[in-house]
Amino acid sequence: MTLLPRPLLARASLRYLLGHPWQLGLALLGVALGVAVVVAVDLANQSASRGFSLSAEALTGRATHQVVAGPEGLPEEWYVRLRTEAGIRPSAPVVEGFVRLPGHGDRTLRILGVDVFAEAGVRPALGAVSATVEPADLLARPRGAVLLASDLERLGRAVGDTLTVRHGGRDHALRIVAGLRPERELEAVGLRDVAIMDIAAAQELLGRVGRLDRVDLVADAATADRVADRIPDGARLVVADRRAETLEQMTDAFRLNLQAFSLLALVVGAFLIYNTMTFSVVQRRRLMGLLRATGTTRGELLGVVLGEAVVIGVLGTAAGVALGVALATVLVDLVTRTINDLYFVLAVRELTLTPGSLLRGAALGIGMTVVAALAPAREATTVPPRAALSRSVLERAHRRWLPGLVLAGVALLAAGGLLLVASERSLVVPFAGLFGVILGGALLVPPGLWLVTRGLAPVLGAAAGFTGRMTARGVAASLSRTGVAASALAVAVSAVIGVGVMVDSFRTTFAEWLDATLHADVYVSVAGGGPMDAEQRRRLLAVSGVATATRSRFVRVGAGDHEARLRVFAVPPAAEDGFSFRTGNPETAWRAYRQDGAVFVTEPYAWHQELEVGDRVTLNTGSGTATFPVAAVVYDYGTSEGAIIMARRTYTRYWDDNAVDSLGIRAADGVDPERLQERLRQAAAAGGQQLAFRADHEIRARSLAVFDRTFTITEVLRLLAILVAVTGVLSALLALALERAREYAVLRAGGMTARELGGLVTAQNALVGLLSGLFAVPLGLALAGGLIGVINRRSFGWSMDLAVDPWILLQAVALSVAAAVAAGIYPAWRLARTEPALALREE
Amino acid sequence: MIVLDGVSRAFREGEHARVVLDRFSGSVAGGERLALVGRSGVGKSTLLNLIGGMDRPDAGRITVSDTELTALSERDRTLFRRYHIGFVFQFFNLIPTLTVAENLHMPLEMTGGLTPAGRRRAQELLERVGLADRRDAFPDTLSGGEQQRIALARALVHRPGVLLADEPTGTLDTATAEEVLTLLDELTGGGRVTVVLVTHSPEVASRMDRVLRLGSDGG
Repeated sequence: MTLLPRPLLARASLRYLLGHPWQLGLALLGVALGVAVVVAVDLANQSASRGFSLSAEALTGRATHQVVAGPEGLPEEWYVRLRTEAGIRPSAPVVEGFVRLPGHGDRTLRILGVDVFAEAGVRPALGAVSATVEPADLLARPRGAVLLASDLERLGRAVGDTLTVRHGGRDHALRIVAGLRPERELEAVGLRDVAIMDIAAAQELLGRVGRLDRVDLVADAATADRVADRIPDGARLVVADRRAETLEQMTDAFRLNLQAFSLLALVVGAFLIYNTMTFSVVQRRRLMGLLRATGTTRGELLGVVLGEAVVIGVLGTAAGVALGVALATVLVDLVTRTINDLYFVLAVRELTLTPGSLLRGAALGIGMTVVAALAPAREATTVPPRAALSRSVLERAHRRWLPGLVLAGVALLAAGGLLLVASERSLVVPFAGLFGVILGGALLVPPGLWLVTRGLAPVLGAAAGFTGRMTARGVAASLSRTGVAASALAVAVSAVIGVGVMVDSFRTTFAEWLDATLHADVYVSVAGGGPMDAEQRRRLLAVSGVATATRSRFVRVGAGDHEARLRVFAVPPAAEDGFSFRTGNPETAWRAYRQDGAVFVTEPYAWHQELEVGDRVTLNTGSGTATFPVAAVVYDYGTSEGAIIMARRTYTRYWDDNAVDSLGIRAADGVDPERLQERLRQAAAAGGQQLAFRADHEIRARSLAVFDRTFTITEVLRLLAILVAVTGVLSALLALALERAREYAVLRAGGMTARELGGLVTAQNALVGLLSGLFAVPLGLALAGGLIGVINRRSFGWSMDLAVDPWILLQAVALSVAAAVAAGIYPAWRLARTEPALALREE
Repeated sequence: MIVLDGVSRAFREGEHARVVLDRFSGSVAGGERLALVGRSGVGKSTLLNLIGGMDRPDAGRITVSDTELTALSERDRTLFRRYHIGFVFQFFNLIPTLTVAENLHMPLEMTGGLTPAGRRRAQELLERVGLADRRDAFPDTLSGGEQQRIALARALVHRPGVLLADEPTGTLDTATAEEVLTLLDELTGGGRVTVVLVTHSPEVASRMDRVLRLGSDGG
């Protein structure tokens, strides 16, 4: 049996495709949109990932190990001893920090303070700076900085100009001494938004005179061991690659979520292909019977249909890949922004066209098309020679499948549900479970549609006569068409509901958490970041009307195999209500926190590190390694990485660090917070350090704005899935209208006006839309439950309450009806315009 | 009474126009039963569609029961058809999603005639065509002859003045065709309904009051 169609068969098949441009166009659009979403998300993810690794590699250079300092920094003398006494070279000291660029929006610049002479052995690209720049220029005042020439262009600066940066509440002028034009992509991309300075100048700018943030080493195992023996308290030795890897792994879950979403668009696209191919087979049954009668084998017919699928798959995929690349340029920006909001600073400005992404998209597109066409292709081979089966016989055959669909649907739902809860920490398994639930739900839609419309026929008949009965029965009678359309629509709408409810629940939980956490009236931090001057602090606390102030310090410390965010708070007893406990008894927890050196951990941190109340965390403190009992797990939606929360008293006992990054000030009873803020501003104006003042409601609004920004990409993907579904529904309804042209022509011959017929067709489409929307509600809620209860928890460590806003459900159902009605406008218009005589003549 | 005066109709076929009817004139008296015969493509079905208001002539006037169809808008022609004309097609064309009884009720409902009396008439017609016991069946479970009998009943249930039939026995065997024709005679005889019937069969044509042969010159 050969699957290759004979040339004349192929020609007939091609002419059929070309003779039905609408059908062909919609099928191509379906494949193209599905593939485009998958390719775009993949490319955006890959680009972000590549941007990260290039930046990490450029900044790490050849270093094999890094000695990373704690909050107190590494003493400079330690590095000198390491180099001179222990003779450990190549080694290079680094002082690193972020500054703001006033006048350039919210942009940040990474300050990389290095010793250019020490760089040659570790980061040759930076070592080469010493060849073009006089070290004295870097140290002259204003302090010199070297940036990429491309960054200078974007900032509108040239060599010799000054650039103002803000850090620690002060503006600093930097003189640009050179613009780098690296030959290798690694440095050209990796050193973006980086200002290279001399280490002494960077220490001064970042307020770390005499201290280093890390020392990068090129060392073998034995040398590394020697270094390890000399590590000062609070610092730790890490393998350079692994540090970057750990950082990047944090974004894995986020990227996997995006990928799963993009696959959903492809699944909806597959429905479309199935529908198109089935329709093309049904439409040609007579022809196929004729071909069989003239000696065409089953294999050849199978080949014809699969060949058509391959043509559609290849063309659609090619268009999809091109569209995907275009879409990815938008998505890469959204992905980068989300990574910046949730994880770390990352600058990705261009798309990396990885052949892997393009090939994966192409294989998925063509593969999915062929798989979706298998069933209709098989159907084609079952056409008996000289068959002239009526539509009703076909539909009856289709209906015989309904019990099987119910069984398969229920089985998939059950399997999906099991997978959702089966594993402990995996993310792939519950995603597979969610897909099982979606597919199971989709399989149940046609039987559901059949049952409901049959039940509805008498009701609609009583209400609207034979048009009502025809509306309901027409949907049931053409189940092979309407069923697929309704399934595709229900899947897309359930995604709308699932994601909508998830985001809304998350937003509600987040807003409630903000309300509980933002217990102060005015928050004061240092403009451009960095610690607050002690003098400024005293001025602020002396202002009349200040009742209490929570002093906060945010640092990163070594915690075993990773680096943890440590938030240090001196919490006045009155501000304790700013923490909401997930586990742990508040009373004993607060006592342990204040008196016994216990810490709280945030929910995501507890999840990622598998911690519970009573466990201990081990930290590299300024006075050696120490362990701290976990007294409570608290809710926190600020970062997905999570954090450890420690009392200031405990912190200062272990670290020689009295700095304060921000103050949360509560106004005394009867004091107007706005007035207080004004007085605080006046008091701060006397000092040289610029401070940022924000009322609790401003922080709340800003945080929610960031939240919404984070979910923009989800919204975009959701819209794309809907677009694919609407295309699918349009294609199905168009097919249906073409098929029933004769039946409608009889109605017109019997005296039904064009408008009445348009109304009938629209009512039928609206019914399909309404029922699809209603079926999507339980499916969407199940999806939301899975996303909230399992996927989000495992991806980010956040727990949240399922909050179902009926408005979201109503909107989704309305969307479903609108999509179906909109998709039916053209078919209805076309039908209404067709002369009944013409339609009746086309037998 | 049906009057056609200088009616022309041409269809586009690629770049050319094929003239099917060229200044055709003729009339059918009220209650008369006319058979239209002629070779394929001479415009028999086109003429039927023009009389039924489903198509418009390029030139000429058509008057049916004192209403000038050619002066009516598409919508008004449709409404005229709804009340005054019944159609029987070669391929039955029953609505597959409605039961036999419901197919019969459809014209009544459209003309506001689905009253108890209307339902009784539908039931009587069902009995007349011998299919009262199949009233709740769907069309696809009926044989061709049965479907055509229902189609005939449906075309007449709302008492139209004109019945247009396009090769009503074209797909039926001789015995079944005879059954349908007998029924047609019974239901339309005695000058109650004006009938225009297109056929290729001389036997069928001979049962009508008059036979009009259309020539290949379109008239």
